[in-house]
Amino acid sequence: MHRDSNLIRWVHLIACAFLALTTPLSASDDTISIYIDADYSVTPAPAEAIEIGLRSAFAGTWAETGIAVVRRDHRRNARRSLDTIREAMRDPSAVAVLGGMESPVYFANGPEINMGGLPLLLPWSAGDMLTRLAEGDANWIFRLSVDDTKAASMLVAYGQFSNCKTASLIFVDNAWGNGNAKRIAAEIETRGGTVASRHPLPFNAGEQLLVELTRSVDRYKVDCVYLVSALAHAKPVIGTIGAQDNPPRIISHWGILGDRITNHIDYQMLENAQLTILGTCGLNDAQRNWQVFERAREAAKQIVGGNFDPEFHPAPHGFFHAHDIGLILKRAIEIARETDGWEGGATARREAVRAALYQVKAPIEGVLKTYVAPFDQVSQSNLDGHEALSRSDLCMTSVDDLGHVVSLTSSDGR
Amino acid sequence: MKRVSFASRFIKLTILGYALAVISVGAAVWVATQPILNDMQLEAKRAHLNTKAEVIARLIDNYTDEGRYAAQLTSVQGFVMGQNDLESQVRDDLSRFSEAQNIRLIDYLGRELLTPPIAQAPSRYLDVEAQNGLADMVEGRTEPIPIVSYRPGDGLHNAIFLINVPVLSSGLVEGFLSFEVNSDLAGVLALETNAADSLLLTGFQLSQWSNWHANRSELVVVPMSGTNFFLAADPDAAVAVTNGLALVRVAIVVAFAALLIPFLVLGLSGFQAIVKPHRQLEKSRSELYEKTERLAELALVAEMASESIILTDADGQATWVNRAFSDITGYAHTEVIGQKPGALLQGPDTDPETVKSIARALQSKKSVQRELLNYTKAGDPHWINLSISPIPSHMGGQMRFASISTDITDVKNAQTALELEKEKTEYQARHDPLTGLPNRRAIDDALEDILAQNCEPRTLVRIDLDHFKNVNDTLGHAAGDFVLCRVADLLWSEVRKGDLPARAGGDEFVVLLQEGTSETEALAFTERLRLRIREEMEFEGKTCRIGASFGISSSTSGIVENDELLKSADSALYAAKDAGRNTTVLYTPKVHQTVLERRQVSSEIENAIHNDEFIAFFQPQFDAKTEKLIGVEALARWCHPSRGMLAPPDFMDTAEKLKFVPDIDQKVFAYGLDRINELNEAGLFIPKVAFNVSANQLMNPALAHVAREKKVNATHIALEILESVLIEDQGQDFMDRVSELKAEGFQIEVDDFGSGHASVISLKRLLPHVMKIDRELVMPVAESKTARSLAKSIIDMGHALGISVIAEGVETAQHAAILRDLGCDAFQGFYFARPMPFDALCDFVRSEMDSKLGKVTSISSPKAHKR
Repeated sequence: MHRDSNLIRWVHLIACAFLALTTPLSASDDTISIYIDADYSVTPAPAEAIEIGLRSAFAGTWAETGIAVVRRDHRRNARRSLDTIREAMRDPSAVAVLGGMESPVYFANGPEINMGGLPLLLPWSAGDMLTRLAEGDANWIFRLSVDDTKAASMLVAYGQFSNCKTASLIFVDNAWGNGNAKRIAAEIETRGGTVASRHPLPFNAGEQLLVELTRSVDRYKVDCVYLVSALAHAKPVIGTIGAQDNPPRIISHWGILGDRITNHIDYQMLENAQLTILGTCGLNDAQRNWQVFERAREAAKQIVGGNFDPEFHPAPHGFFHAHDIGLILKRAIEIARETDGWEGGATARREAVRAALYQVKAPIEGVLKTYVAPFDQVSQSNLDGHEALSRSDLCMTSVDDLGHVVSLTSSDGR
Repeated sequence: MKRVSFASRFIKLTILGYALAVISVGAAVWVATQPILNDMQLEAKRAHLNTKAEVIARLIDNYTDEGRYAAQLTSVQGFVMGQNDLESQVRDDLSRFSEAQNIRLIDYLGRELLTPPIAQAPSRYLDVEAQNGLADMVEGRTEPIPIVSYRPGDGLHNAIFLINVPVLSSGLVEGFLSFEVNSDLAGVLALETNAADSLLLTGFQLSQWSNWHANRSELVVVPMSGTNFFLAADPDAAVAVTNGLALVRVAIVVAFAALLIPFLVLGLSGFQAIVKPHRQLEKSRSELYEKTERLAELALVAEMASESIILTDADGQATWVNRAFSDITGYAHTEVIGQKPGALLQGPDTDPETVKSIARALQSKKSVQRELLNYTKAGDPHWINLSISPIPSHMGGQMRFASISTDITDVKNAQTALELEKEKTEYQARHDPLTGLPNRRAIDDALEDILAQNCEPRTLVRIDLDHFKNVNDTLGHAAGDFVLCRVADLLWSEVRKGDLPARAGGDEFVVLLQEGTSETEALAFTERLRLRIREEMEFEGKTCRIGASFGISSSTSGIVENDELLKSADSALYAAKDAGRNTTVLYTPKVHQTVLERRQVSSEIENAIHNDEFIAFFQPQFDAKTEKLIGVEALARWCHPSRGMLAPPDFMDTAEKLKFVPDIDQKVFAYGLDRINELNEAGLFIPKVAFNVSANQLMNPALAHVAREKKVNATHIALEILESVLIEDQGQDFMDRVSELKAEGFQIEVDDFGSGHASVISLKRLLPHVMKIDRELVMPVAESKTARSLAKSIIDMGHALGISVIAEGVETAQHAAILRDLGCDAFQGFYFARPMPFDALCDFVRSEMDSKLGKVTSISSPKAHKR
């Protein structure tokens, strides 16, 4: 079976490469495509935010007419995602794919993506290995988002700061959840805390089972609960804990930020559980680049219409990250256009874009920060080479009674 | 050929007899009952015909239920969703799927995800209609339900159902679990005769029935709900169900049991009477054989042993020796037998005492072990380890002795060599290899001996060569070594017989003078030596001149004890170097006091730096309009172990004299960044932390390096430069460095503005991000109109240059109100918050954070900040 599936994979790749290499690029081919491979069905908010963020990054330039954004719905299904990636590989106008929220989708397809020669940019997926599956030129996956290798220490440091000495871990029982739970437990022990209990949530568990599993936390009398899951699993967990008298504080990984939380959980529950969530610092007004933000917001309004405000979108991080990684991609395309590779067929063009992602040296003013050489070759001594954000770009956030995600240490008075 | 035991043959014969008896009885019963059984079977078949339709429906329900369960398995769902690493688990889980065959997982486009061995044959039963049904489910146009198809196999014994169960994720159909069930419908329909009286037919088969079977009667047809097939009654078929066989089986089993008892009795009694005695006899034979074998082996081992073995009688005369004895001693077997071995083997250097002790032990019939020097027949000495043991006679004869000896000559030689090597190592450990002088360890040992023996008072001299490093640097290390050897020679020439000169390390020497040496004699000694060391030395045609400083300490004066000589001589030497070198200082109470005080302060600060006692307190700064936290200033504090928390006025003057300020600043900088990192690590963000820096620190590249090392973004670090630094004549280098720091993102702030006389021009050149108005100008703004005007001018000037203005020393609400009206951008002062340790800063941030978590929408009150 493995040999067969590998054979099929290779046949696909060779076919894609053949098509890409043999498809000539004429003058009309100057239109380039960026694919968005995200979940528009089950949890659509991040996908929408990512799409608007990307479009806003390309607004107001040559890109307005020269870029086609192709959206594909993977419905959290890695096979659908792989079909989209393969479709983009076959499409000679495609220069990059922007990924959606789910990490498992790319865990499954990472090796083939790296063999396919088309840059995949991740503005949300946090899975630790995604950007570290290969070294040097063999790595085509870039990220501007939370990175799980840094998330655990941030969460536990915050927990420690909040006087959490004994904790329970609640996490979705898949590779992403288990990996994070392991790191959080190790970090707690390193910092002298105690892990009182661990509660894996079955991937396909129904709401009643999740409620029962969460109730079992109560007997451990912990100071806080570390939560690693998407919103679907988190909903009964937070609801159950938030309904208790004096419940433990919930410190959550950022997987639950895929939708407006108050649409799913009563705000009183969130408030009672003192829910704090790991995020990036785009919502922290002191760190945000306001000028860029205002520009992005205006562009988004033009795209979406009405009074669109990314800050109040159900998944604001998707907008910030996609906008910033879009700016970096835009600069990379501009650099690549000046190279011979741009006219050398789809494969050469993609290689030129990838190479240009490393050559972006001049500062790019993004919403989150100013990026100076955001990407570098990944190697054993530089495992963060494809991470545009560092630990200092992570912030703890919370949710207000309108469901808006707000920075915990924001000083803007909201 | 394997020998079959007597007992085994006996048991086999008994079982054979039992088997023959059982077969005879069983055959008789079966033949007698066969006609009755046939009648009973036919009757039972007829009784079950009416329930068949129900049986088939239940059967299909069971299959689809099992399919639904399997389709909900985590592994199956995950695999269909693309988690290829679950494949082996899926195969494992599906292999437990009892009766299903050709199990397939199909993705949302109908592609097969699993290949053999799970699926053994291609799918043949999914017609176009069914395929469209699956596609509709994937697109959400129809409800996700199982689709069941039927095709007859090899008659009703191998009827095949194809069942497709949707695999759901978040309520959406993402694939299908497809499987076939081969059902022995003839069996399920209870027809063991293989002549089915009912048929399952597809719609097509039903429509063609009358064409295919024109001579048969019409079928009765029932459609099967949820499937594409029909149940039809076949009038020509028979049904096979029976209970009669069970009765016959019971009868045969009872006959078997009845025969078992007599055969068991026969077997057991035969075993006791015949087999058991035979077995005991076999065992005795076997034991005797083993003993004989063991004795032969022991004799062979003794003969072949590498140790020399001698057996003697009670008189000590050899009765047997082994081959190794002859090999080692050179004496043949015949030369030894009847002789006393000692007489043959011992020689001139054999220790007579050892020989006597062996004889005494043997007389008292005790075992003995000794190391002994023996001689071979050729007269060569060799050491042996001899072990003699008495052998008591079990048969009433005389006592004998067994002697075993091992040659240990090599071991003895190695011991001797080791002792010589040890003496050499000991010498090297106590002497300097370059000069040959005793080393520091030798002096320490000598002083320890003196203390241990409670000796008379002594005098000790410490010598340090002045500017010796220059010799190494200018003439090379060979010259340095030459000088050290030369000084060692001078020392040897000047010391007396009882003096102990030593090289303590590097360019330092020590001389422990002999008992009774007075301080005056020591001074004379050092003066002679000083003059001789000052003489020119020539090395490879080049001359060099060095000097030496001397520190003398003597316990003859009663100031110090013998155990303090080294330390106090060191203090005197320190004072000599401090006095300009090339001189001698005698240790006195005054020297003692001066050195002590200076060293104490120096070492206190040094220790404090080493022990991280220098920390920072943090004073928050607030936005003038919103009164929100905009940053903190890190202020140096000395957490003194005995004097408590000290502010800069308590230690900074001394630290400056001893040139420790850069180290302290560095410690405070690192501490502040570490603490801010702790907050940032917890996802809590302090927009800015400001540090006071001197001009020198600013020029030091280590500053930016430390910030990078601590991974603190430079844009969150402010460097406060005193206004007085500006009015000092700072060169272009300084301005360039400030520009570099600004380019790296550091914020530059001018501290205590208004306390000096900096010009607007110098301010314009520097163009800091922030200027902080000195507290002396802020304090009187409530009372003095002039002060207000002055503050207003500074604020306006700052704003004109694009510089934000922070007011320091804001101590009252009135101050804040006035300064806000004057346009000041931010405040720092006791009215809002005092400088606080990190824990208090954490509490401060935590309380603000908790108030936010409690009510995120509320605007936190400015009063909440006030301490």
